[in-house]
Amino acid sequence: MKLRRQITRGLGAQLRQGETRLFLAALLFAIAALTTVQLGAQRTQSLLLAKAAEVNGGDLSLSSRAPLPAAFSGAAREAGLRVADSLGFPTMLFAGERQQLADVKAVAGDYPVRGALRVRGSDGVERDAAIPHGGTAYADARLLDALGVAPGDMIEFGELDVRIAGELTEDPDGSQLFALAPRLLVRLDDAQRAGLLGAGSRPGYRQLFAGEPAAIRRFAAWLEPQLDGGQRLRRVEDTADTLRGAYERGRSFIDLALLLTLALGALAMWLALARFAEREADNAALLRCLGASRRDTLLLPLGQVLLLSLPCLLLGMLAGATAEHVLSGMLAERYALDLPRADPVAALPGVLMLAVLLLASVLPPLFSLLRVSPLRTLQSAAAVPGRSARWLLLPILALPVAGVLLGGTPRLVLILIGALVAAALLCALLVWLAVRAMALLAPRLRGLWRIGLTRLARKPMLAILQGTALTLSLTALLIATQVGPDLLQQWRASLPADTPNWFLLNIQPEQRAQVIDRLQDNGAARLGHMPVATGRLVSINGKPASEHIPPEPSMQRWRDGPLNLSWSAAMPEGNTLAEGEWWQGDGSAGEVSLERGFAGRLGLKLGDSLGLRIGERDVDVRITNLRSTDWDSFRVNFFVVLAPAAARDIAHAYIASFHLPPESAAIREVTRAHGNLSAIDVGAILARIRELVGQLTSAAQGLLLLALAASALVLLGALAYAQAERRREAALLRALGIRRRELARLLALEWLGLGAIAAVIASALAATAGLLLGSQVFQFDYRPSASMFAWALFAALAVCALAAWTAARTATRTPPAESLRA
Amino acid sequence: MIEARGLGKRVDGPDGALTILEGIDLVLNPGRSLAIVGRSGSGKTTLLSLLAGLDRPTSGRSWLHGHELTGLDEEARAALRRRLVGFVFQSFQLIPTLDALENVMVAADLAGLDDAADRARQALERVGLGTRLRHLPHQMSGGEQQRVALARAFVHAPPILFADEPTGNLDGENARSVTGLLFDLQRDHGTTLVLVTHDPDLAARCDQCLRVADGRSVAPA
Repeated sequence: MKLRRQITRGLGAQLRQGETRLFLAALLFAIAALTTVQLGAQRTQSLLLAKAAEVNGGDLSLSSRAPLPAAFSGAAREAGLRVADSLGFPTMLFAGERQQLADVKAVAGDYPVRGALRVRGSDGVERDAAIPHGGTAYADARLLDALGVAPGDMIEFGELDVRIAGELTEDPDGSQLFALAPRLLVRLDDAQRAGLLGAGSRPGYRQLFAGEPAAIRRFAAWLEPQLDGGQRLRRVEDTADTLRGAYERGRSFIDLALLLTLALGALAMWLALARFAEREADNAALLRCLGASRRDTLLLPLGQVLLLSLPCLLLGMLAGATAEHVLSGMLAERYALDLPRADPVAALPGVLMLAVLLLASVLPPLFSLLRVSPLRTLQSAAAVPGRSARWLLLPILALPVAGVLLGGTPRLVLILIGALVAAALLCALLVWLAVRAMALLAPRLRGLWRIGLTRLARKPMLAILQGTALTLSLTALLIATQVGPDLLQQWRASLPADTPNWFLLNIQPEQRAQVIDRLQDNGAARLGHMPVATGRLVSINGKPASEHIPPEPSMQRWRDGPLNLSWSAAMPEGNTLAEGEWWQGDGSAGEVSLERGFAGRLGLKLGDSLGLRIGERDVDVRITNLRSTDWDSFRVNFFVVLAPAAARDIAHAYIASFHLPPESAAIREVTRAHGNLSAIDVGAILARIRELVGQLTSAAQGLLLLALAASALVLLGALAYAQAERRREAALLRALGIRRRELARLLALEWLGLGAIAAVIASALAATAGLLLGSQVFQFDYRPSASMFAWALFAALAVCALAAWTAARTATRTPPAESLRA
Repeated sequence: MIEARGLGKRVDGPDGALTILEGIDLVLNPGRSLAIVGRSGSGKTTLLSLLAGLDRPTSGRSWLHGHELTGLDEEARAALRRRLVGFVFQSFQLIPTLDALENVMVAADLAGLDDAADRARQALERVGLGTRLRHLPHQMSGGEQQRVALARAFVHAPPILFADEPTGNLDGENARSVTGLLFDLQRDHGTTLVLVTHDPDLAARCDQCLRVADGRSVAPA
């Protein structure tokens, strides 16, 4: 057989067939959705990294207690990176009679390498700013207030007098979030001239780097082997825990969106191709009769499908890139996001690879054509190749590969796919039960209701496939758009109005009574305080701690960093005992309590012994209990709490947490009276973190919505699966005298029945997910909103109404005389 | 009664208009039977679809049980079919996902019968399928499927039945059995029957015969 000629000659005829068009439409849409999501993911990823880089101070940051070699910054500049040096140290500042302890940050080079400095000038207008000129500085609001100065005034900075050039409102270096004392930003050469960097000043040195990701990776790989023990390199990826959490949440949202798009796209294509194979079986049988080989009967339709797929791939990518461009623009505007550029060329190999995987996983239903018997030409029922549902396993198996190809970590991919498969199975089971219920109900009904429900119940596999796909995407949609925001809102509302919003640090033992009294007099609510000392974890079960603690970067702070600890006779408020026994009274000298999560990360358990060095003292303790801590209480909490008997004679200060109304002047009064105290505005930090997390999750949520909208449309294609069969039935029913309106009502009944089932199951699943998340993660009782069900019903009925309308349009146009020709 | 005057059908083809039927006249009184015979492609099935109101003629007029079809739109013709007409097709045309009982109930439901299930059961018993009520079409032989189709056609006792090659897909034995049933039911219900057939024996059992050649009626055989 002249196969090539046959393939090309039959292309036009194939294109006129409904199933072929459906397959191509599903492919085009899946590729478009994939491209949209890939580009969106790429852009969101860049946004996440840019935000993390802002908090990190750069794409890479190197810190040390000793000056950093200039060779490092030189090499970075040669590699085309932006470089800034930064030096941090505490010092006393003076303005007239007033004095205040401040955190000075001295910067040089391209500071800030990421983000922008924002400064409010003496005119009260806030604007982007470069680093201060020589002899000038920027001070934050707390410093201006404490020193009683304003932009334009002079202050004493060591041996220099510097002029305040503006109020520092935003410094894209995460250290500002966690600064203990008010902040002064100066030039590095001014700091050196001020004579404050002598022995005993213990400044912290940092070098910040930013640039193209590839250049950053190369530079980090070059730099890492040259670092000594005191130099710590931080990448964007291992920046502050809060941001990393948001980053990973965003990342799993994106992965979930992509996997869902792929799964539904593959399902739609598989349905179309299974139908296509059934139709081709007649042609294949005829070709076999005429002497074609089995190979030819497969290669002919396969070749045609692949040839027709090529332009769809290109069109899909083009449509996807356009859609992503438009949607990103809308998202950027809505959330006021400064979205980075998308790079379609970089996304191309990924999309192509996924397209090939997608095709490879859905084409196998065609292989059933190899088994078609030539007898089928004589006796069509005798040699049906069978709908090979087992091929459906292929797209399912392809999902993990796709997930890993998309850059997900295998563990995360497995978790997501496990969740997806479990949800799909649960949905399938529930839809099956609903279909069974319909089968039982149908005989009790009359007329169109009976015909409609019976027809739906008599195609259980199709109903389950369609119902599951619809339910799954609805559930994900509900969780993303309804349960998630509801949870956050209800959780915020569940926090008491007087949740502590200030921490006061460095209260010396002799100041304690006076400071606490003063705070109480000023109306501080929920006032609590605990002693705090700084130590180091030296040994675990007799071995050096560095050998026991996992070598991950996130663990480094515990291996050689300082460890804040406290002691208490009673269990600190907001803590509950998880394991072991709390000590009686002051306990014994060898007892310690650990926060459960901290113990888990370090691989510690009850009975393990810890060697701590606190100041000049070595303290050996055994873990006698583990605590669960409610971090949301925003009270002072510690990972390590000693029995008071173990903490005798340890040099310490106190830390207090309390709530003050925003307009209260108490902080100003207390810090003025005691210049050594540092106040942390937890409320402001939380607001900033919330804003960051909000922006990041909004972007990721937008992406998930996008993927789900795409899936809904792909699903619509799948809903038309039984179109040919329905057309035959429609012609018959029309011949038997059913009216157009009745036929449309019948189809609407079937689809809307399916939609209602999907809506009920999806709302129940989403509400269950909300209840579980509420009780397990947020630790409060979540109340599912009634509007969620209405929303689900609306979304499901909208999709199904569209499907019913499509089906009805074809069916009612079918001439009844067609039944005589079939 | 069924009546046609000057009935014709033309369609647009790739080489211009094509005449499929032209100037057909016929009258069939209630309770009588008519066989339409002719070669393949002569226009028999087109004539059946025009008489049953499944399609519209391009010329001429026709009446079904006293109702003129010519001026009616598809919706009105559907309403007439539901009340007055039963169908038997060459390829049976059962809904593959419904069992025998449910297939018959579709016609009863459409006709608005209250006791659709009972009537369908009786109709299936009448055609000898009382024990196959829950069988799906693919679980039945061709003869059995055509008997289900007969039960469906007669379940709401329509005054007129149209049958398109009712034995065309059946072997001799099954064809004889289905033919016997068809005429028994026609007689019992007093149904007016129009059937298209190639089978001379089947045509011979009808009261009247119309031979169609090249779209025109020729002298009865």
